[in-house]
Amino acid sequence: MLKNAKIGMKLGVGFGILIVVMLIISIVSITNLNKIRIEENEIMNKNLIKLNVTNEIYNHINTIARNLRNIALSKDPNEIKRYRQLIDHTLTLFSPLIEQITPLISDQGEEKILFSSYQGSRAELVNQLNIAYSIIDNNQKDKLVSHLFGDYRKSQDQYFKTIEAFITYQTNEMNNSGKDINKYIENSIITVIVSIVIGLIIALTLAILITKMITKPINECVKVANELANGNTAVNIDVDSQDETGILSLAMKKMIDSIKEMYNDATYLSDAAIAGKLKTRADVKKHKGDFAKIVNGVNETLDAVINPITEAMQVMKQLANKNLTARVTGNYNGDLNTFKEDINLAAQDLEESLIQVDMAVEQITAASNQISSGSQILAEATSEQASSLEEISSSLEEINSLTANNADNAKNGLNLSEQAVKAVDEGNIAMEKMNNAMASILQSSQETGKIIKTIDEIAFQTNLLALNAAVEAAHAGEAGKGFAVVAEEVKNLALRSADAAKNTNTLIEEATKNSEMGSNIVEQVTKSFIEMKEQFTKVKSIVNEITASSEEQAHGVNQISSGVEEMNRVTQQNAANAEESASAAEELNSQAAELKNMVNQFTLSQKRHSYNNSKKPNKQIPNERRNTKQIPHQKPKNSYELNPENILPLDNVDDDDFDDFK
Amino acid sequence: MVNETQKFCLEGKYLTFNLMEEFYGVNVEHILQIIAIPEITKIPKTPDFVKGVINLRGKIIPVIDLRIKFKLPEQQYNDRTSIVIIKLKTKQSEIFIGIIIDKVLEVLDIHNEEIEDTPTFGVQLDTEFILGMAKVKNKVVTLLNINKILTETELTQIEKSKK
Repeated sequence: MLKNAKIGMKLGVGFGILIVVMLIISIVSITNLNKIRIEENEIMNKNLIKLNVTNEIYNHINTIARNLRNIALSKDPNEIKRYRQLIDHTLTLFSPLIEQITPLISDQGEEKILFSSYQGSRAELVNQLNIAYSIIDNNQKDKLVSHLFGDYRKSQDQYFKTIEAFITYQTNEMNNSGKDINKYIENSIITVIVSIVIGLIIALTLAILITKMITKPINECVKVANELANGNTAVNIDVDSQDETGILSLAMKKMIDSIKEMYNDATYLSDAAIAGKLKTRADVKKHKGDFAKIVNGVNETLDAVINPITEAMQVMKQLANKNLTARVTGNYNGDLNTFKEDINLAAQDLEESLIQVDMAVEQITAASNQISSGSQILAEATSEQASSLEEISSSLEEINSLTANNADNAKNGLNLSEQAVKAVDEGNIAMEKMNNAMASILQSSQETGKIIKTIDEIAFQTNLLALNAAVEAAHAGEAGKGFAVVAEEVKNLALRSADAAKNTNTLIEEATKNSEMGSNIVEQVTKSFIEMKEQFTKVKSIVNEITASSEEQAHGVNQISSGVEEMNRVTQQNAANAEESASAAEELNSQAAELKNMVNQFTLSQKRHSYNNSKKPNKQIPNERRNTKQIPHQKPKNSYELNPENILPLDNVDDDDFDDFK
Repeated sequence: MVNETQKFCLEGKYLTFNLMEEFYGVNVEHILQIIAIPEITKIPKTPDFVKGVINLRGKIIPVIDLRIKFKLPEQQYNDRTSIVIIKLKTKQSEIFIGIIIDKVLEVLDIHNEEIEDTPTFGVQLDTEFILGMAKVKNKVVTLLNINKILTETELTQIEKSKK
């Protein structure tokens, strides 16, 4: 990870670690100094004060003892009094001193025991002092001396002993603290030294590592650059970091690659040139800037030498492929230009001679085409004529058969007309019978109508009776209820029969109307039958006339048929001759075309177009052909002068008959 | 116009008939008989609605045309035209009168809940001869007060002409 970091980052990490080490050292030192300060405080503020106070007390007791001795020695009462005042004053000094150290005494342990025994012995001493005072007041000097050297001395010694014990204790405590301080100092010295040593080792390692990381790739770059300067391109550089040195290595690598590419292309081109591969060029796009310019320069040099040769090769190849318009067109200097002109001259000579051949072929083709098309048109016209004749002949046959059919149909028609007349007569008789039947239907309907009317009247009367009965029943009240029901039923029956009568009446009316209509129709039909009979009689006479004229027609058609057959024979002969000449012309034409194909395989230049332009008037040949095409059509008219009217004489009277028939 | 008790009295059996496709009803208690139209003997100097008299089993009965009386268009009598003989009470006596109608229909039981008041068309209009309107089988039947069809004067006039 550190490998890929930037140099700044690497330095930062190194110094950061150093700062951390320094911080650790400082913290350890400060902690130890603090501990020392606490111990020293203990000594200065507690033990030393206690010692001082105790020493003062010691002095005060000595002062008291000295003054007591002075009292014992002195005889002047004033002086005694002064000494006594001094003692009293000294006694007052005790209390504040004791108060000063009491809070400093610890609540338990040896110190407290020592302090309380030293307090107790002081009380005893004060007691002895009071005894001494009472002796003084009694002025018993001897006794005072003996007291002073006796009891008082004893309690005073006791007191001194406890004080000394206390002092010893405090001195010991102080010594202990001093030892502790020494221990702390030693500890902190060791810790600081160890931290400094570790820090130094880490710092040194980091310094070496980071320096190596920075200098190693740079050294490598320098080595590679020196190799390149000595012309050795077979070098490589490994890029394995991403910091500034990595970027430098990468740039170096790119530079080496560009130079290698250049070297490779140069080698490739020179190898290709030696091997005779003239088309080989280096790809300029692969290179940049001045490198590209160098490669391009080499390519251009190759082009200048090789282009005329390549073009001459291409032209020769095209000539070989029968394209005679191919020429060397590039601009070349010196000997290369002479080379170009010689090739072009040879190609031109070849082309001109082939154009001459082409022109000759074209003329032959045109001539043979003219012959061929002329005879083809003749053949076509003749065969057209033949087919027309055939059509005429078949039409004539059809007319013949139609005429025969006509005659037959006319005979059939005659029979049918006779049958129809008979059928009409029969229809007339049937119509009369029907008329009679209808009349009788009408009569019976009218009679039925009368009966229905009577029924209707009866129904009405019954209805009235039923209603009257209902009224009567209502008058009768409860008693008439049953009767009312009967009346209602009767009324319903009456209404139903009235309805039935009404329905029947309408039906009868309709029947009457229908039979009347039937009679009218029968009358009309009878009239139509009579007319039909007349018409059929007329038809019969017309059909007779048709039969006669059909026979005449058949005779005429036979005559026409024999004439057409003669014509057909002559036309067949003509057609055979025309076809023979057409095939000969076509043979000539195909040979000319073969020759032309051979010439056409060569591609020729504009000179040929100018030749075509000179030939343009010949293109109007088709128009001339069109003129000749009409000749065969006109000829038969002039020679034979066949006219259908001449062969088939149509009588004007017959025409009129046809109109009638329509 | 008709109070509750009156209306209650209207319930009963009615003979219904057609006039101009409209339905009318007359209480059967006034009705004597229904007959088909016979020959009518005309009487001069009578109101136009009086068609004349008929002979009903030896009794001379005057007949009036209800169409004309109700100012409806007149109609040729046909085979459905009938005469209803009704009994009228005058101050002196009771008389029989035949009324000519288009077509007699049936005797119907009409109940109170089917009867409604005569609609008032205004003060001027005289609807005294109508008892009420009955709704029967989706139709409206005008119930006639047979005693009020003819005024007192008209009745006397008819009586006189009969004699």
